[in-house]
Amino acid sequence: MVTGMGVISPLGQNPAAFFENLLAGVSGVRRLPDEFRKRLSVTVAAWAAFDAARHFSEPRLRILDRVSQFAIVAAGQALSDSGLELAAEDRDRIGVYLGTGMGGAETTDEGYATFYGRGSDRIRPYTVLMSMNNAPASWIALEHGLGGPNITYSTACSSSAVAVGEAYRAIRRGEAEVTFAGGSEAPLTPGTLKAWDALRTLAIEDPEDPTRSCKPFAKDRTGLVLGEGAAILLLESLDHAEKRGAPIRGEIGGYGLCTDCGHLTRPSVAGQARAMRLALADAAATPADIDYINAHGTGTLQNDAVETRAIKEVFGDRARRIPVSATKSMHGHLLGAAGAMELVATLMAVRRGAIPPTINLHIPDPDCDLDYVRDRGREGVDIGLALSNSFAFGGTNAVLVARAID
Amino acid sequence: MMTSLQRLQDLLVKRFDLERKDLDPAASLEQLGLDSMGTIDLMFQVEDEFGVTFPRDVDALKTVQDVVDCIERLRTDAAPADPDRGPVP
Repeated sequence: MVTGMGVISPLGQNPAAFFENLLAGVSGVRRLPDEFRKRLSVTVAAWAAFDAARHFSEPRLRILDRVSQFAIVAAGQALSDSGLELAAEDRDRIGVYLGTGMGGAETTDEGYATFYGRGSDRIRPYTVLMSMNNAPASWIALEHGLGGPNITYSTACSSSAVAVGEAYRAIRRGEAEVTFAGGSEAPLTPGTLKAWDALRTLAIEDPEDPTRSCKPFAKDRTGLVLGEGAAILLLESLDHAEKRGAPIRGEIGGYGLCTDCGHLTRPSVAGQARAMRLALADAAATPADIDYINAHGTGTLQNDAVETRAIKEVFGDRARRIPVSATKSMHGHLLGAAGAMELVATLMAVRRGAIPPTINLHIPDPDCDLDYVRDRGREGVDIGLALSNSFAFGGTNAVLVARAID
Repeated sequence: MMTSLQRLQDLLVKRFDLERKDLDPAASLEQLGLDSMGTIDLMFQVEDEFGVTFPRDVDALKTVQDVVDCIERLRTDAAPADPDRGPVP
């Protein structure tokens, strides 16, 4: 059971604001400030309007990379949303399962800029502690005294989907009753943007409107737009949630995990289809049961065509009747936080019976011929089960199933 | 002119969220909430503020006065050409 959710995103600083903006088709993509653009080809990104000083004192900010700041605040939101009284729990049994791709990228970038760029030896003493990938998960445990497993998954763009899936499995196996699970990512630093730039996979700025630069499934799509934020869920066993009368925000009904093993970056229809089938089997569901798919939908030439084919392979004739949307068109690609962020969108879609759209899809691509819920959200939809797809560089495919609450 | 103690106290108030009334020279760094990590952070901040370089081993620094003494010693040992370069922005 999902009993609490927290979100820091380019579309709002809590789950409700995030979902309202999604449903309204609002774009969080913006033009980068001039100082960023001097040496970059990339000119757009989706950043969060996050006021660090509102949440943390200066001494704390000296040891918290932005990625940890996001994680701590999102976890705090999830805890308060859940109404869980930690003092009444055995905290040694509560774990944290988190995903991140780039970890403390800002700190790493700043360290190298100081050392190589400015030729200075004044590297901040906390550089290692701020940039290590497990810092966000560790800080959540420190903040709340959580002595259970503390695990950081780093499988690129599926990191947080894997984290949530593994936490879900731990609860299902009876190893835990309560876990924090999700992901955090803060990759919008000059050095990290430049590295992505070099991969030639980022979207070109739309000449008329920079906010429309990410165009999943469209013929004129040019790539992904990087974003930042965190999405963290509080997961509980049904027993535990019922005993304390917890608010139920949604249910994870299944998890499929597999690996493409043909190429480091090229997505595979077979791998993506296999992950979706594994998730369906885990949820004891058939293709006929799925009413909505939150696609990985990055806006890259390769992914969107491959994902469309994979959905058709799994769902056959039904594929064209299932609404599929790419919310990355609005919040950008949050890399290691993407899976959890899109799971939040999917859980809220199921609960509200409202599907967020794919925006910027004006020129259809014959290779992408599904119902992508163009432009505006769709309300009044009865969703029993929905999929949230996450596929990654490195090949780790993770699919989560969101189930409606009876 | 401000003494090293006053400058150190200013830095502890400004950058470590501490109360000036707690910053007696005899106050222990540990009791002020500066554990081994906090002390390393303090050394870094002091190096910027006073233009000194601490030795690798700072275990001997237990109190506010220890830090002041160390700063004074390092400044005396430093080249006289640049005895007080002042705060580094």
